[in-house]
Amino acid sequence: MSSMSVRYAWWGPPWQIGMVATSALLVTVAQIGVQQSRPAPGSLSQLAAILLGLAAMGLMFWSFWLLGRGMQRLSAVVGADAIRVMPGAAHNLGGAAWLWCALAVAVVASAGTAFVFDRDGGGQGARIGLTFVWLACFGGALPTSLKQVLAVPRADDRSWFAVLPFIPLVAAWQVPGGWGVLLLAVLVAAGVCWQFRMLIRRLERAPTAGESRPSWRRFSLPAVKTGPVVRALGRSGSILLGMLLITTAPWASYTHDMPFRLYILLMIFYGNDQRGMELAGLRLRWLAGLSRLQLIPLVLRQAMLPAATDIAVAALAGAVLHALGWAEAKELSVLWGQFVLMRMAFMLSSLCWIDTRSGWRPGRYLAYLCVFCVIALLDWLWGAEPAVTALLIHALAAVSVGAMRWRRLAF
Amino acid sequence: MPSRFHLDPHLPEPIYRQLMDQVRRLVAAGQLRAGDELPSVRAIAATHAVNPMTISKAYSLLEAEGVLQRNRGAAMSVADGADGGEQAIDLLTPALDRVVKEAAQLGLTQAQVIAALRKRMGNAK
Amino acid sequence: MNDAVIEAHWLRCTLGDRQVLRDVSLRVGAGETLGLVGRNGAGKTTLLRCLLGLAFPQGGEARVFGESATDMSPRAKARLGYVAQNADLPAMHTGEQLLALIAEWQPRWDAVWAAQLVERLAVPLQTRTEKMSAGELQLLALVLALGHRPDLLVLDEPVAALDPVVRRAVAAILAELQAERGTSIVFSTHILSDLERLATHVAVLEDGVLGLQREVDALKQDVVLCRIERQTPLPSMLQCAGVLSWRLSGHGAANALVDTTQLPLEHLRDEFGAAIKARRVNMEEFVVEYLR
Repeated sequence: MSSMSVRYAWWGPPWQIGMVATSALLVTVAQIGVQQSRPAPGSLSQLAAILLGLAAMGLMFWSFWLLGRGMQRLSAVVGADAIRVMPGAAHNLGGAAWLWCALAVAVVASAGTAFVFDRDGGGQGARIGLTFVWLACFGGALPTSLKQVLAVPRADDRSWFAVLPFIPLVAAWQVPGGWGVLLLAVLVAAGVCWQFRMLIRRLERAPTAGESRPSWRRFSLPAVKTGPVVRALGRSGSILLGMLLITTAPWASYTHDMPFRLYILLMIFYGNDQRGMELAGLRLRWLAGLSRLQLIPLVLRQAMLPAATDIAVAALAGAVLHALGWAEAKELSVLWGQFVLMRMAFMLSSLCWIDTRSGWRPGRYLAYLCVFCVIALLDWLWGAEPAVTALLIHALAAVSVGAMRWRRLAF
Repeated sequence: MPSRFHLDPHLPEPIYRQLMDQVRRLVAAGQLRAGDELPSVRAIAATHAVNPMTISKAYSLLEAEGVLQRNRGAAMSVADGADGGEQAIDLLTPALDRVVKEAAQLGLTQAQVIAALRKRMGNAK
Repeated sequence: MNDAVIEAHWLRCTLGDRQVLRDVSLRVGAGETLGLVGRNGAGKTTLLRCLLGLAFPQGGEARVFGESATDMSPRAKARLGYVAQNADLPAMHTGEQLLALIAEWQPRWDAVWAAQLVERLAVPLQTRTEKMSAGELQLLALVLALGHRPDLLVLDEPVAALDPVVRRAVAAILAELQAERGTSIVFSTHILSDLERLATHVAVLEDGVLGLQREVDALKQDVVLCRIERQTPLPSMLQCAGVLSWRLSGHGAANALVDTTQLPLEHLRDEFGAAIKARRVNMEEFVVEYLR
């Protein structure tokens, strides 16, 4: 009988782990070094600081990507009976999981440090990066898990929770000096570790009486039955909350936090699966042989109507915010314009979806990209600065969102 | 290697009995002679995809009957003096029993049955 | 009788408010093959999962290689192979990656034998599991469960998705493994298929109750299917030692499976004053009649 040593077969070769850890350390040290030189605005040092901030976040993203893969595999193994009865499965996976947890903490701490020490220079890069990671990790996961915990019956109802992940992010941003963000980064790492711990316990635990499959989701409430009115309220609520977050938070100055703002809008729709469900029906009809012409009235009814409703709700929400004196008219109008564009992009992307039979839907991401670019162009026309940076960021955002969805990385 | 046995698990006859009957018949007909080695349990099990315990059981019972003998190692061969005419007619007993029974059910006389048998055997030649 | 490789004593299992297993006891010795037969929902999968400690029974106990199934040592697990009903292999892995992984986990893994199995069963190694057909997944799961030449193999509907040619190949591989290692096999199926040729024992599970457990050879020799006919009506039910099943088929006629060692046919004939035609049955006929 061989010893039950820890193996990393599914976790990437050790050099990968080593590279992430070493890079994290180097980036942190460089960040501190650049900060010590007090870079002047527009100087090369400031550019270096921005690049370092982005590098830190890139690392974080990489490590979370690896962690995400690991998590998926671990869950798959926990679920596979044939593998659970193999010798050493729990030991191997448990050991590898802990190793990766440690790595997550290291990298997140590095990114957080970058942010704290580089508030003047590359803070923006770090902020954008952290937003990315946050959304990748929690934008999708949190609403989904909340939905599971509450046993909400329809995927549609995820819109209830879509904006919830932003609240801690906003709160963290409010803490001066960037310490809130550091704290948040540590919390993210802790959350990931906790999830791993739960999985490991699930692996090690013997099943309980009558259990068909060991489950660690023990807090399920009875299924909530929601009608169309409740769902409409939920969606309106999430749109209102999203706009409130965008317009009232002091960090949301128009120029610097464009990507963040767009992400919030994006996530409102991300949580809204109704469109997809409706269009899945349309796609079936298309496959069943209805012509495009015949599909138009269906598309209008099933896709345009919800889009129009959302846009109207957003306008209403803007009016309410303005009446309360929480947002300026110009900013709201710009925001509303973006909202309309994004909603349209979603609708268009859904139409692209009808056309493709495969899971990979390039049209969808092309639509995102176009909308982001149009928004950036409008920013520039409206005299917002720095438009070129914004354009780049938007393009990057669109590509990465597309890539994330394509590779199913958002976990 | 093509097997000289035909084992059909879908028959009501247990597999070990099918094998035993076939070995006995081959020995009686002289196609297997004293000292001839039989395929190993493993070979038959693999060729016919049947449980090796079933094959072992057939071999052991045949050994107890004196048809087979176990050589050094695990190989089985036909036992000395296992061939012979007396056993051959014994093998027909089940078939003859069935003829007798069905003839009774159909109300045939002995003479009728023998005549029919003779005619058939004459034709066979 | 040899030592039990896997055994269950009075297993009771409830899922939700449904009693899935009611006091099930069984044992399988070295080299034996138990075919577990039953209709859909009879509790076959739950029984196999309880036998392996993947589900925890409310009552009774399952033992594997003499160890409690819910607390198996790595040593016992290393002698065990299991193919689950839906071959729930992790997604995002090619067959090759999974083989490499399992090879690291199984101390007794035989890479040469595993490669032979892959070739003989034509398992696609470069395809990712989520893109495999049900049959390909089942074959991959079989190779993963066989590569360490287990002493006990538990197969939940192992050939359900396979074509007849591959089924036969699987049966031949299992027979070879049994000849070589004396591996015990427990398999479930809703109808005896090509694995019938491997079964030394058969057990019929009906609504969570193990109604019958026999050696296949004894069953084929001792049990006959009787057609019972008389002028007057026959009882609709017959509970009597030796009568395994009783089914009315028309006025004054019934089909019954009778164990002739317990109930000689003459007794049955005298009891009912009826004409009886009896014939031997193969396993498939037996199971169909028994479960009808």
